[in-house]
Amino acid sequence: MMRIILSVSVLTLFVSSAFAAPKKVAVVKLLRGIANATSIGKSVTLKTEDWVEDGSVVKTEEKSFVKLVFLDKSTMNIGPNSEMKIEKFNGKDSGVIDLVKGKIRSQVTKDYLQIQDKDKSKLFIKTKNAVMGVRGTDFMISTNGINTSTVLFEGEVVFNNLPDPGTTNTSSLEQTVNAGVRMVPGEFSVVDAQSPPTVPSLLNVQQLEKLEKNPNFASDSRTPASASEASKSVVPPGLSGAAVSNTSDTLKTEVAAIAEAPAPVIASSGPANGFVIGDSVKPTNGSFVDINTGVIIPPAPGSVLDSNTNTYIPAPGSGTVASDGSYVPPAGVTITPQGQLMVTVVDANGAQSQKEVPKPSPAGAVGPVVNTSVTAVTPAQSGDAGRGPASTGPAPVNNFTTAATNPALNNPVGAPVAGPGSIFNAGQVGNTQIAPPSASANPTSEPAVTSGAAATNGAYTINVNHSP
Amino acid sequence: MMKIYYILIVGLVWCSLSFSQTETDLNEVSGKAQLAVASKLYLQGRYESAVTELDRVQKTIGESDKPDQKLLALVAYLKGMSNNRLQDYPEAIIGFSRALDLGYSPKDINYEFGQALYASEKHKEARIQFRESLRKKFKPAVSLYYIAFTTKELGEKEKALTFFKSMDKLPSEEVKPLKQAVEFQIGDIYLEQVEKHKDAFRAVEKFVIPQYEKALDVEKDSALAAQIKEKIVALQRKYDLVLFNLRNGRPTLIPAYFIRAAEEIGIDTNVTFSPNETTVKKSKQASTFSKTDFIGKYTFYHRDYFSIAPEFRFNNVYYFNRVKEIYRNDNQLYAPALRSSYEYSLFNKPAATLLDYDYNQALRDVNAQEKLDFSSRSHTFMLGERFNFFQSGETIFRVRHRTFNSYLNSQNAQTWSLVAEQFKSLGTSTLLFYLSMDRARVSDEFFNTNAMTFRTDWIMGQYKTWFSPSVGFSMTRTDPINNRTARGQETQISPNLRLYKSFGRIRGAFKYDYMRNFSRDEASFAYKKQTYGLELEYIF
Repeated sequence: MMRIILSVSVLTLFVSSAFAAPKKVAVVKLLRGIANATSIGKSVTLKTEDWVEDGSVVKTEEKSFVKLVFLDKSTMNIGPNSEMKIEKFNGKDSGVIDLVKGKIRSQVTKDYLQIQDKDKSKLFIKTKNAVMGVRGTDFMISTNGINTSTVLFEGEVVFNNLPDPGTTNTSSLEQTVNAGVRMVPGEFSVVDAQSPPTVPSLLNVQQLEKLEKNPNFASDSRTPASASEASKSVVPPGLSGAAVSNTSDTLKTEVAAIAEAPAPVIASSGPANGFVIGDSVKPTNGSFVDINTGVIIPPAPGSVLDSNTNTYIPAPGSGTVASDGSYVPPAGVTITPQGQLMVTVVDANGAQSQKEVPKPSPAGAVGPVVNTSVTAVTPAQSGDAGRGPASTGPAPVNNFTTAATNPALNNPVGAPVAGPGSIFNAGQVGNTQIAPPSASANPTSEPAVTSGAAATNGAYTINVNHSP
Repeated sequence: MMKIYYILIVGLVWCSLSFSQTETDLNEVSGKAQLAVASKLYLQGRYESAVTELDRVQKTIGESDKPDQKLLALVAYLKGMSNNRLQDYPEAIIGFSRALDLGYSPKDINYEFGQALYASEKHKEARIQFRESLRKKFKPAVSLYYIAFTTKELGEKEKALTFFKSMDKLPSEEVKPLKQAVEFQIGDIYLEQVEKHKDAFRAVEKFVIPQYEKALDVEKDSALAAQIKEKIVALQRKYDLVLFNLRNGRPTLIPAYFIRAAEEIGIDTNVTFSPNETTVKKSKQASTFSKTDFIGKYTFYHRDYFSIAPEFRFNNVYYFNRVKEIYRNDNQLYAPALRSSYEYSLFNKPAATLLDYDYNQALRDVNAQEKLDFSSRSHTFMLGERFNFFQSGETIFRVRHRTFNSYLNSQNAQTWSLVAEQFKSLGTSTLLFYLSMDRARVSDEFFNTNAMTFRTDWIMGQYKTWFSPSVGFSMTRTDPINNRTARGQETQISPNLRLYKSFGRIRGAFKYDYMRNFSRDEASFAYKKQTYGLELEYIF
């Protein structure tokens, strides 16, 4: 009899624990537009003060936003068109959030779980290809399912690729993030499908400030006057942005003479210039990030170095920032949701079309800009003006006369893409042919004399890439 | 009573004055505190917030009866500085102007003001500010550069030139980072001055390009240097100072010379010996070998339709297995040649008639005495036609005659060849087809042959940023017309593989060749061999 009672008790305990209702972990504090939560196959439209359970999938629609406050007082703002799953948030172990798509802005309290070890992540946020370990902080993470980008406003995060997006094992996630990059406030990093995270670099200061002030993802695509693109760089042609840069030394002295001594300059994250060493890519400080796609737009050549923040102030042609902190490309340039850069090009007949252009190198050197073009002349004029004979054959392919290479004909509408120092080079469209190695294969040369019979049979050396 | 009134009035006046004073002090204190906040925001790079805070400070101070002018000026200066970094130059100009109007002139204000004016295309006003900045010795070299450049933009070329040239009077450590840009700007001014003249090309060649080259000499690998080179080429093209394209559009070789040195270390699994052009002897022994190759060529152009290129090639092969059958194959080749082409257009595309002469002198250890002796010499004339009939690549036809003299008189030979080549571009790779028919007539007629060779190569682009592969296959069918009974129709097949990796001017290659000859006379003529090699080459 005792045995039966014991068995029934154990079974009851097992069944009750197995069917226990999921724990409520967060409450909706702010809501804009439409947001749904799905838990155990049941979907509900969220309202303010609704509770969201552990294991729920929260989805927001376009122009919608929801602010969740978790049990530990951490907040998580889920941006428009986003989907995230609370994979684990049980209060006993580090939390795990899976961001399927969209954006999250989060302020994680330092006492979550009262974890004392400051080198241990309090929360993990995963995307399809990246994972972030959060250690008490204010940050934003965004993914389009291809790239994942993160911007840190305060505190510390560690960020890395995620080889196995299915894992929820926190020890394994901790190991992964510890092998990644560590970010300090003001920095961003991007992970794409193929590469490790970019070396953390300082984000463009205007974009950083605007994003920081917009935790609720208020959509405002206007560009305030102060953020509209300047028509001309302060850097005169020939000089680098670093050469003309002014320090804040005079300003600090002047302020100190009247008011309280100014605070020290913000922490710099290494050199302002970008670099590429093997797989490691360090974007130039002051780059913009298209938050939705993770596309990095480095400051165009001619940008001036702001020694105060160790970031470049982008020169005209780099784009600008809208009031909501989103990146606004120059006129004629668009970024697709997949992260392709498209420019509007005009053909010789005046017809417009969209063409994809290569993304600028995030580590592109912010060099000087000079006008290297010279006044156009036709071949005939060339013959008249110079001492060479006027050409009689087909027009030479050069920068002056050939429609196919005339930048004016390839330019995006209104975009300063073809000017000196442009980073959106429409001129590259269709110009990526690899020239046939006509001379390289050297068919004109005689059979090479090699040892033995090989020399006698018309064989010749193939001299790829190098040849007269 | 009057006394009381008097005391009351004096008291009231004193109180009101005293309160007013307190209010002013409070505003000032509050303004200074806000200024500290604003400057902190500025130093954190939060320029937008700094401007907002500065507006607040301005309002607070403005509420005083007697606003602190210095404080107001400092606020205006800070607003100018913040707006400059926000690239809001009109607002920056307002800030700096106000600060200067209030008689406030910190060391860098004119420099920053000048930059805001410069970015707003107010060159004249900018120049005044940079002059002031130079007077204050604030970033003197950069300030002078701005002065010179704005002067140039204002169309005062001579004056601008003077300013650029006067930079040499500044301390060299100040000027050094700007030196290349200064020389470049001087070149630009020269160019603008000479371009209007009829004989501009002479002046461009004599003054402008040398000036740009002077700028290049300052630092050859800088970002600016790359742009200077671009400009030099643009000018050379514009004024036909250098022939870039032949009359049919084919680009000329720049530079006109080509020098290549290569060293290969490899293994030959079956070293073969060929005393003439149609026979072969096999050693059935393997050996490592060293192969040194050098080629130098220079192409001269006559006007834009004819080129002639003398060429010299040297080749040395040394086998490390020092047995007679092997080391008798040590050889050296001296091969001067003269190649010419007459360029014209056919089917509206570049075409050329080719005429080449090759002389080969080969030394070989023919007597197996570890000493190189005369082995053979040959004279080859080739007449060819290169044209673009197909969209995808060039076609070349050649007729070739070779006179071959061996150290064995019986092996002297005359060979006529007909050759056809076709290139086919496949985007990132190229296919190459080669077909030749060779008729060799040897002094000892027993060795006469007719042969046909087909070869194809697939030259691929870079594979995964690591190496560039190339694969090839050739097949030769040889008819020993006077020895068919013994040898039959011989067939030789030879596939090969190359993997290239470039490091600037140095290129490494792994080479693999397989060769097999099928012959009825298996004892003498049938053989197979493999050759593996690692080659390093340098292009000068």
